[in-house]
Amino acid sequence: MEEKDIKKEELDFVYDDDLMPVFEKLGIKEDFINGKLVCYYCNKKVTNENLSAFFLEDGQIRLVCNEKDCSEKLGKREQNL
Amino acid sequence: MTISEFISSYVFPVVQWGGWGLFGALLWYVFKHGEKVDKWISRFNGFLMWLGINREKKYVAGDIRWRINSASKKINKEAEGIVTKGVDIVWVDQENVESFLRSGKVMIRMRHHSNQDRNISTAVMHYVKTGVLHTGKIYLPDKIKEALNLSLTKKILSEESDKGTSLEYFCSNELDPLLKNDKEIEKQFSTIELMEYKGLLTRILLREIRALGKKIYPKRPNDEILKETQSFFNFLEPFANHRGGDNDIKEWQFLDKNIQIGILYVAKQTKLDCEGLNPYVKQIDKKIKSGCKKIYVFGRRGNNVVAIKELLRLIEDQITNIKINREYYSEIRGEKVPAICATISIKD
Repeated sequence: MEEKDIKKEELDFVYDDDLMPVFEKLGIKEDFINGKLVCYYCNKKVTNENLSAFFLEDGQIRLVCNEKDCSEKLGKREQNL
Repeated sequence: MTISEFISSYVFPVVQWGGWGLFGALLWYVFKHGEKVDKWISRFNGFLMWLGINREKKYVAGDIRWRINSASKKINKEAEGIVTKGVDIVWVDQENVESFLRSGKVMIRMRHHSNQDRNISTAVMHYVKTGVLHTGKIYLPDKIKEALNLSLTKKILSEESDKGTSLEYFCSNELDPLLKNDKEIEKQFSTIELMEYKGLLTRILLREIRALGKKIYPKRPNDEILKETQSFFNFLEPFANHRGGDNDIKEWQFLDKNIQIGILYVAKQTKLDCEGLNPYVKQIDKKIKSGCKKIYVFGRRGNNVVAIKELLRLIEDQITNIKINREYYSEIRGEKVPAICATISIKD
């Protein structure tokens, strides 16, 4: 018997205009603006231009840039959650 | 009947109840086609974006939502339950970000509406990775999983892209560079595209991946399972590459620990004319006896579609769980022809 009641998937996004208030709340706004934060996967500087996602791990906010390899690694992380 | 009698008997009730009827019909339409209503609301918000950021967010979210929901609906018509019944989009801001992060979620950045093709492409990729067949895909080898994600993203974007601009963005910025850099993913992707073209992707591969997930999730994927799914993928490959004739497909059934299926093509007019349906009944019986838990029966062109329906009527007394999936159209040498896929499930 096929399932007929598969729930909707919830997608959680942060809108561009909310990004700075969100980073302020998380206490990383100044470091982000001053270019002190790096990508969790490739260690390159993350800026407003190349930021694609972020998550919490071991109490730290981890930023991810939009490089292909980093997006792939993020995808794998999400699939394994 | 006088004019006044006609008016009081027919016109008054229609006028009196017609409004409610129209309202009821409207409600029914909204209930059945929520994604279309979403599309128009999103477009309306698009016109009113100058009113401020909230309107712009509504437009971006609505535009993504109706595209995914509409495509999901179409895919689920091909094979029910393959994808979720669409998506809900939640905006994370300074008020709720901490609770979302604590629950382990990844926050994806959405850009201004001027980058909407990029937003749609990002959202669909994210949705496919996390929300489509999540419990089954973990048992696939990495390269097949990657190729399948790309193919599903392309399928969703192809289903609902007005001018094809988000699909174009995805192909030139995500898909093509990835396929160019990874020959193994490119090979698997090409096979999956052929499966899609032949109607095997949603009707067999995704269905079986889903069934596998339902059967063994949350067991950790081990070498044995990954080997089985790789073999299953290899088993389907000749069907994807099949160009007619008898000799290119050697194995018509796949029997392993978790997946046990058989495939049957009803395709030979001469066989049907000379021997009728008897050989097909025997083949189904043989597959059941050899351990197939599911048999997929395919046919293309009107006469074969009719033959399959007749075949199922013949065996329905012996096998209770037969499902004829929604009929579709397939292409044979550029000609669009009706096609059918029936699933026979055998209970233990």
